[in-house]
Amino acid sequence: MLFNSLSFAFFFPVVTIGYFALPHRWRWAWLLLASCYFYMAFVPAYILILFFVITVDYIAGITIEKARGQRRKLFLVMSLLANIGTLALFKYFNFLNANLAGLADAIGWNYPIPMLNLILPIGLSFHTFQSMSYTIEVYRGKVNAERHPGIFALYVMFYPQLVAGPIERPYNLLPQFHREQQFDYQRVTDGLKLMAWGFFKKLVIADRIADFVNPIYNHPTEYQGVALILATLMFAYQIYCDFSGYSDIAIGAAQVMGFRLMNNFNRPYSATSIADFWRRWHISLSSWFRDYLYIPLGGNRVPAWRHYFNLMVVFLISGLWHGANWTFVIWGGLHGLYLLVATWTQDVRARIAQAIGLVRFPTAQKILATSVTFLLVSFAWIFFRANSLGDAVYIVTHLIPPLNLATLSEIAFHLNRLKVALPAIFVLELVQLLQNRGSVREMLAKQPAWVRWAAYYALVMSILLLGKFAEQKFIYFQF
Amino acid sequence: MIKLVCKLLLLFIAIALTYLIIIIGANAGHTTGYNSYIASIIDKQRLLETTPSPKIIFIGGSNLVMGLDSPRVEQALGMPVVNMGVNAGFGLRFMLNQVKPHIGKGDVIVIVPEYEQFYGHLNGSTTLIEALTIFPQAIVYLDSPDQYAMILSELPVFMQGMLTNWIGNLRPRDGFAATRQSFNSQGDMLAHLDVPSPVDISQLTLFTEAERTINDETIRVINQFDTNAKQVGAQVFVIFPPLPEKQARENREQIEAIYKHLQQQSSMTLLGAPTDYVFPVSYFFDTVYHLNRQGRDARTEKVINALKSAASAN
Repeated sequence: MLFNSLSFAFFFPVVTIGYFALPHRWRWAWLLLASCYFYMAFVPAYILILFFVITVDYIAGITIEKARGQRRKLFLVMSLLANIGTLALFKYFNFLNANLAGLADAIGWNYPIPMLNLILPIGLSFHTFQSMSYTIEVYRGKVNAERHPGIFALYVMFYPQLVAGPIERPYNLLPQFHREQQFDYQRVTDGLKLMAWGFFKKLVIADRIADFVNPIYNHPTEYQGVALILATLMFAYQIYCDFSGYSDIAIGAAQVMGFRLMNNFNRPYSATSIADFWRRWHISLSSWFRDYLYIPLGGNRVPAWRHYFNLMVVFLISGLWHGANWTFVIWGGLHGLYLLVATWTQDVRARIAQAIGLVRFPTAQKILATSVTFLLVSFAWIFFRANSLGDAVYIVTHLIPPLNLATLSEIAFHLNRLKVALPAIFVLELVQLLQNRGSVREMLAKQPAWVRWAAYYALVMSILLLGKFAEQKFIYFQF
Repeated sequence: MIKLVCKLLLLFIAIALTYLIIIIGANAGHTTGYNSYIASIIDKQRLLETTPSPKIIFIGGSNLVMGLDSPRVEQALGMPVVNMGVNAGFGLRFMLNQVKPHIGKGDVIVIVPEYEQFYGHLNGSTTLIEALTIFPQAIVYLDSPDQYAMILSELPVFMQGMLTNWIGNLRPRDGFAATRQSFNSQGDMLAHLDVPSPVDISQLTLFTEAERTINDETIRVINQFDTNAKQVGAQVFVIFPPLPEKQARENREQIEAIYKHLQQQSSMTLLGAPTDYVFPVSYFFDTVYHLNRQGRDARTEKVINALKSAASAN
């Protein structure tokens, strides 16, 4: 079920009212039932994959906790292999197979393994990663194994974050299912406001931009220069608003019922470096990789070459996590490379800034750093969004527009097609600028009633009158 | 909890009031609201209710409005004709429900569904909502939860269209604009007949990417209608809508699939095949279904012959 569907407009209030109406001891069952229904609205049969993951990790959690010595590690590895195996089968088998077949063909070998006719279950990477974080934390002794199978199933399947995160941690979410949540007016309304803001990002910005970006990125060879640049810059906003919009709706929906999910975005395009960007973008995934891959590999407490290796491995795997396609691997690799170059050139850049006197203008320095980071991130998005490596190469090699009057009129032509999205982006940036000074909700709460109501009314009406109601899937569902 | 419900209710009322203002503003133009093309549903309803049986009723979308010469059919077959076509966006379910209570003994009902009705259009689109704002009495013709679901899910899109219309009302309009006054007494549009085509018909497409799997519900609804009509003593036929040669050629497989599906699954007599209603592109006005004078004459001729053959076969 999509958040931006009519079904969800009925599902959400029914589930929420039912949740508060039921006694605490039955709420887990209600939420689990609702989560199953939510997931089965996509492809019902794929719930079996979820049941498999849940069963394996439920048993693994208890056996890891009971086991001693090397057996603990053995059970953990078995559980991780089951999770990664599931992911590999559904997401990476055909990719690997196609590449091996291509390689065999290139050297004239006969390659007999056929492709599997499988559709990638929605959100598989999200819930397997969430489930894996549970067994790892049980192994580390940071959380106790969950004895209640229903609550453990709910931890993996909790509907707001089931298909696109935030990828939760067991020590944050599991105890919340055991605690009785009371109806709290302030918390409920805050959750609803966050959901409305998420819908604004998704329907008014992301989906409107999609109308501009998709035709260009789906047929890039029909365009060059200005169109490709604008489509790339706009895609940066599309994916941000699409994904952070989803996260806002998920966090808001959970908040209404009393659950606090982890923050997933923190104004990523105000980052002043690539490292800063990754502290602000898809935080639940980047912290997952940090906690369960980067640090176990040694992080930065190893010789320099090993540190660089660790960084590249993490970013390449992060790219592959997003999709079984070389475009995603290159996207991840580019970010890894950015970080390495940033590390290598740190001193040189500082000296240049000192020499030209830029350090005396910290605001200008910050604007410059933010702009460069945004452009680098946007450049990497080309590989993320392109339908094929060939398309990405074409776009990269045809980005520079000719400098003439025709280019100006082309810019005007394209901007005219963004007449809803651009003012909406302006509002987004304005709100984010205000967020620098603190919570916008708290600022609004201090205003007179008519100002608050005007703001809420304007938000809701802009969603209804400017949003795109075509039930477009969230981009991150494919992962 | 009560505080929250009250505030949500207040917000809901504010939204409803805004919607109302937009609808009033949008419908206040010279070619909108009660003057609009869609408002012809009111006249057609009256025509349907007041025309005595036996009569010929044509059911379909705008292919009938801009593509049928009803007086000529009436003259050729000796029965009064009611052309109920307005817009395919009403959805075939609504169109059939509208006619159902007014079928009399000896009536001949000709369904001419646009091909999209066999995919996603069965329950209508924003045009149906527009019709309901102008002619709310038509709500009695909504009998399926799917129609209500469509209205709810399309309401924001409809309101966005209304807002655009309202803004449009403030500007002078150019070119051809069909209105309620553009029809003759039997429900055919005449205003467009001698207007040159404003678009290059050959560039238009017929189906969207989403329109690939035939909706069995459409056939079930048509068959149900046929059963009801037969019980009253009426006959029901299906005729295919007109199409330009190019689009017919490009979509041959899909159209063929619809035809076969109808042949196998429907209980009604199909008068001819889709290929019988393929015409040169020069016969079309502004869409792949709208005919100009030349096209309308050719199509009417074919419809008359098909109905005459059906009558002689009976």
